[in-house]
Amino acid sequence: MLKVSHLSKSYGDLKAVDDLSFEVQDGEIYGLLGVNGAGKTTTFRMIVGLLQPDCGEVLLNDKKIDYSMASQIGFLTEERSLFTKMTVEEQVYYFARLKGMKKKEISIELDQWLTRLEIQEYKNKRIKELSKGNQQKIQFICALIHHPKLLLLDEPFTGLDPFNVTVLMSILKELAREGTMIIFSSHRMEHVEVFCDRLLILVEGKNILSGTLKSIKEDFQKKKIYLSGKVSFKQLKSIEGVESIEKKGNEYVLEVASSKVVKEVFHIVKQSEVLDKFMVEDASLNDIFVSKVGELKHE
Amino acid sequence: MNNLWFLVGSSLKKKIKSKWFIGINLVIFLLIFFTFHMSDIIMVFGGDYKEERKIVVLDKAFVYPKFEELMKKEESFDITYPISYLSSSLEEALQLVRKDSSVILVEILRDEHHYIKSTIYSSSNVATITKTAINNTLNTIKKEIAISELGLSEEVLSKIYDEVPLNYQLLDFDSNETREDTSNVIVSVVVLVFIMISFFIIIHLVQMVGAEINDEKTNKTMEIIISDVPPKIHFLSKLLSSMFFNMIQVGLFGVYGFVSTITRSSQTNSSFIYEILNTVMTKEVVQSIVSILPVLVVFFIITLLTYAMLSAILASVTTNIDDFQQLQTPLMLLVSLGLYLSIFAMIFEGSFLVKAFSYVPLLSFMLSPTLYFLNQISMTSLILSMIVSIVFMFLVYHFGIRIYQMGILNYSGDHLWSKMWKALKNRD
Repeated sequence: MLKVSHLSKSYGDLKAVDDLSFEVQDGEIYGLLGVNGAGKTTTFRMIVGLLQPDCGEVLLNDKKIDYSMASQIGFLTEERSLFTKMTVEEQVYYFARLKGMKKKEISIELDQWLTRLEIQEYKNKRIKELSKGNQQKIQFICALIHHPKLLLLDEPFTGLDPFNVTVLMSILKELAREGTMIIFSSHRMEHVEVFCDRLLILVEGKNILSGTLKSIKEDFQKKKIYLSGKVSFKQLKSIEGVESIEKKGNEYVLEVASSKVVKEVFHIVKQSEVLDKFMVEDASLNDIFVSKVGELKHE
Repeated sequence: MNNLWFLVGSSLKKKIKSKWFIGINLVIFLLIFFTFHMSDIIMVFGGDYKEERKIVVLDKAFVYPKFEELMKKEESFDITYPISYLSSSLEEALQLVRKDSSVILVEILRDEHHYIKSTIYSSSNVATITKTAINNTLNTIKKEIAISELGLSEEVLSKIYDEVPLNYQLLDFDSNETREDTSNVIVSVVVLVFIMISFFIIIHLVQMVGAEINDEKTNKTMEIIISDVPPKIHFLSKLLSSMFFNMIQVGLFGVYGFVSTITRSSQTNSSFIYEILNTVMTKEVVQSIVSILPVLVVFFIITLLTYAMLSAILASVTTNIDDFQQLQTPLMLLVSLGLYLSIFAMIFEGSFLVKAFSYVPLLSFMLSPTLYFLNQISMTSLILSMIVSIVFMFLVYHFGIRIYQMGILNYSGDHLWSKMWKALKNRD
């Protein structure tokens, strides 16, 4: 288990991470969400020990993370971190050796991963000759070739096409089933929504929301109602708790404050002569994120 | 520790496998080989230096045996002078010259004012080297005739020609011992060669260490590396790999020289490089160098390490190669200052300022040995200067590693000086 407790880091007057705490269980996929500059990368850097926190601590299986635990951690940085003049084989060998792997082990694992990611023909190519997506795959292999207990992925799907995103997601889910703790950051909500067991939203270094996707959605009261028929716009607007109404073609899209308001809306529109559609949808993670970030910015 | 040697090995391998390393070493090998075989190569292409000329002497001054003996001494660079005596008239001799263009006729006559005079006849141009050899020979003969006419014996003549036995004995005040003064020869050649080689090695080292660290920062691999190995190990790996690389390079220069020597020594004739070496590397000079070799080697390694550390520290706080190029300028100036001061030390012997600089770390490595060879400082002073450099190296390491730890993961030039100051105060 990874335990992050009261982690803080400032750069001058800027509070990059502010009293951040969370836990990641074995086999769990944990998402760190946030806009650019929210403190995701700083958090990763403190977890792997690249940065010393101003206060707080990070424990992996109840031990403070230090260099003796480097082989238990895999780290994929947001930007490409590769020696462009090396070949794929040399590059993977270089990072894997730093993790303490033996040459033979590396060779076997590398062949397996290259085959799995369908890039075996690039084994002896230089990194600079590879496309961005394939470079990302190499970086991905470098991060997990040593079977880490904790895998930190900073924006791992950058530069990948949807097909390869799916391939990598399935690999990560497989690793999680084997017990690997995975923390990944993203500002792409759709990735987080289909992928994470639990997540945390960071705004200006602070944890503003965390938990399972289900609980977050349940706690977030707001709903969307899609309806069409002979409905009075004025009548709908007069209902307390209806926060916005947007007309899209023949359809109204209502944003309402809670499930209770949904009932009220339904009670009114069912009296209409014609009601073709009445559909209620939970807010998407993107809606929740935008709403929460917006609320904080207005404060 | 495994990671340290892995990083050292990887860094070395990367440098040695580079096509530039291979290409430049090939060029250097060819240059060294060419230098050692210069006379052979020049002769392959031919020229008038090696004309097969027969020298025929029409001797009316009775000096032929001496002329033949002295001309043999002038033979060098694979040039020989077949000489023969002609006892005929000038007209007959000139006929010979007209018939054979390789014949050089040297007519030697007695002269009232100049003891002897001579005319050289040839039907084709005579090489300068041959003219010089004949001229030298005739001048020597003239001197001998002059001395002989003064009634001096062979023994006296021999004594006159012998060089004055001149021994320099320098008193070493620190050790109460004397050592032979071989300064003139050493200063003129050995010291200059030594400081020039050091100068180029240090410049090469500074650029190499900086470029490598900067490359790792620019391509962001530094983050992955530092997540696996502590900055101290990374720092040491850069120092060691650059040191080893330079040692390999110097070793290779030695191998190139050795190979060139081996191939050259199979031939019987000498070359000018051997003549220079024979002149310079006298027994005294070699003994003098060998006696301080351990000090020089330690001093060299310490200075190289210190420059490598400073270069690594500077590279760590820069975010691109352009910034590093600018930041390394003071280091380059320091190395150049050391070189210039060493040269000035030979001109301004006894300068107080130069002596004072010989204790300044980073400069002292080039300056102190020069002053020692110039007999301006003692062995004790040389060792003291080295100790100052050792202390300085440890200080650079002690404080520099703090800046390095901060610098290698810093990608912003904002508030750099305050970050460095903060890092210096950080004892973690």
